[in-house]
Amino acid sequence: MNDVHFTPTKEQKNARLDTPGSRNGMLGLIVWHRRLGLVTAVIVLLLAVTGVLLNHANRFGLDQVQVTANWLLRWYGFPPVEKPLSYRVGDYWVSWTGSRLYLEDKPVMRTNTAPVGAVAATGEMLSVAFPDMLVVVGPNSDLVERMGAESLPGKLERIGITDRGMLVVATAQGFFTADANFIAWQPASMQVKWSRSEEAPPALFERLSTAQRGRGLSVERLLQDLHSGRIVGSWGPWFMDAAAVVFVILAITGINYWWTRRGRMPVFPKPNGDRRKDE
Amino acid sequence: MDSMGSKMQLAALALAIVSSPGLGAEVYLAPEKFLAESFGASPPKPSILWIAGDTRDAVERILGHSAGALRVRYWSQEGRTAWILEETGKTEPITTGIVVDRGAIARISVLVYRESRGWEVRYPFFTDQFKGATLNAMRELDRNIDGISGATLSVRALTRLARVALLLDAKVREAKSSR
Repeated sequence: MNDVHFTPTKEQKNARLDTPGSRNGMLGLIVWHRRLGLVTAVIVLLLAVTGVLLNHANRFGLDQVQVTANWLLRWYGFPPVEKPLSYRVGDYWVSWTGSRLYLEDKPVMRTNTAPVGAVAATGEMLSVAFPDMLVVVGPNSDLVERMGAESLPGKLERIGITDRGMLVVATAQGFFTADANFIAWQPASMQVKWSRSEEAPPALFERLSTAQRGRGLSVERLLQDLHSGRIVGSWGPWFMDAAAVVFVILAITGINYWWTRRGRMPVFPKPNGDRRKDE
Repeated sequence: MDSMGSKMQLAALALAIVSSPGLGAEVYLAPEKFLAESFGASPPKPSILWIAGDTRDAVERILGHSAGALRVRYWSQEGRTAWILEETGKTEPITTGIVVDRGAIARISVLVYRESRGWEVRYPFFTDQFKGATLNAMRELDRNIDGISGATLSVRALTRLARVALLLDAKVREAKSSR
């Protein structure tokens, strides 16, 4: 007995799709497809742009470029960088910020106490005065010596330099000057140019900020977190997972629509009115 | 009266909390006083020892990190040298005064303590263990130093400083004998 094969003609297929039930179902699907597409378009754009940039991050040097926007750094939990207390010493800047002493942007030592001044009196060495400490720093930011209160003539209030290049410190007991190695202090009474703090140049402040924050936040890391959703926290990847599920639904509904409507004029449902009239 | 008594108790408690060694830097003995106690009313003028070359390597091997400053000052009189050195216990430096008498530790005193715990290392029951200690060929102390529960890192820091002071004292004596 021969099987009877029934192959519907194109008209029969279209007629079957044109039944009221199937039309309503299809139109509902299209409406939701469009809504979901609109909502997720921003995410698609975000993923596309960040994906392309990440693929070429090394070529663009994005792993070397640091994010400097303070609001972003705060979002990532980087501590705010304190404005440094800076002293200009000849061509150098001595700064104290974040409990560290810096020569230019190179860390010299850790200290919780703020310096009261800095001068260059003994050759290329810099002398930085703290209330209970005098620190000698080399031009390469080497810590040459740290003298405690036992080696000082008293609590240091200021440090300065005379016209002849002699270092002078001011204490409650008066002014004192010392030999090159600060072994013996002698009372002094002379004209002194005292060291005063100045505002560090913006470029130095930026470098000090970077020095404090370590490698900080690279643009590549920011792009990775935007791409994965981690920038908004632990639930970000779950949000991106949900978006990925929506993309799959969009792909399936899109293919389904295309398959069922192939060879026909597309249906553009209107939000109101009889859609049949539009065909 | 009860109210006055409880206020006094609160004030005493507040004072105890403020003066607790665990909060901030606690100066147990001013460095100037340490020197005066070690050398009498007129301590000698300080001398300078450069920490470079082999000496620096040896110091860094003992400390397990950079030796810090390139030079350190010491006070020397009649075969005794005094050193004021710092080493981090857990997070903060412990300022320690060490007197070495002819190659053996004569005294070790915690001068300024900044850690939140472990201040028991200041007490003589601990510091007296170092008296008479010398360095062996491996640059270790010639004796075992008993630790203190809860103050392990401070104990280690003081032990390292004792070894460094003995090493530096040996360098000073070497330099003097070669002159």
